[in-house]
Amino acid sequence: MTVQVSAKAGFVFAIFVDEYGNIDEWTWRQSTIGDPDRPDSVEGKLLWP
Amino acid sequence: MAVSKRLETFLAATTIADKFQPYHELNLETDTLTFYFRGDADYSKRLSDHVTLYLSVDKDELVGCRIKGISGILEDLPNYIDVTGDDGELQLSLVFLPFRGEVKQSEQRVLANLAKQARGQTIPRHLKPCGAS
Repeated sequence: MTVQVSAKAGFVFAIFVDEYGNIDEWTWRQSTIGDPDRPDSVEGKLLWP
Repeated sequence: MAVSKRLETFLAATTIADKFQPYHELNLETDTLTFYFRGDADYSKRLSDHVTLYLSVDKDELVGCRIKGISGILEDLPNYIDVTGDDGELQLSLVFLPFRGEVKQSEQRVLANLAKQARGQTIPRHLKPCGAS
């Protein structure tokens, strides 16, 4: 079954991976003001988009 | 009865939030503790280097949290507090104590709320890989 939902305005879905590519966590985060594709308060490299 | 009416009746009687049971999960691989005490749809907000809060999407209310570096906390707590017990477990609410100095004064109430919600839940004092005895 597939459930498709759209993101609430001001939020992005973030998947966090460690340096080896292992998934650490996935969660909704508020977007950074002025950059709607970037989750707020996240350090590290943004791989996508 | 029309299908939509039956569905409405069913949904009214099946409130997932009402049936939610607080739970926590220790993950040895990521060295984290995840704790949820409400079942609302949530998003995360970083409180400090080690504590991430889960807030409800609809009302921005606290529903849970994630703590990084949980193994270090479990190892360190006995240096400060007597956590020894016959059952080898400690109160979940204790793991929030070390972060009181890490967050701003205004945010300490959030930690206190988490500790309050965690009351009555226990976690093992030593993390073990799945299947280890």
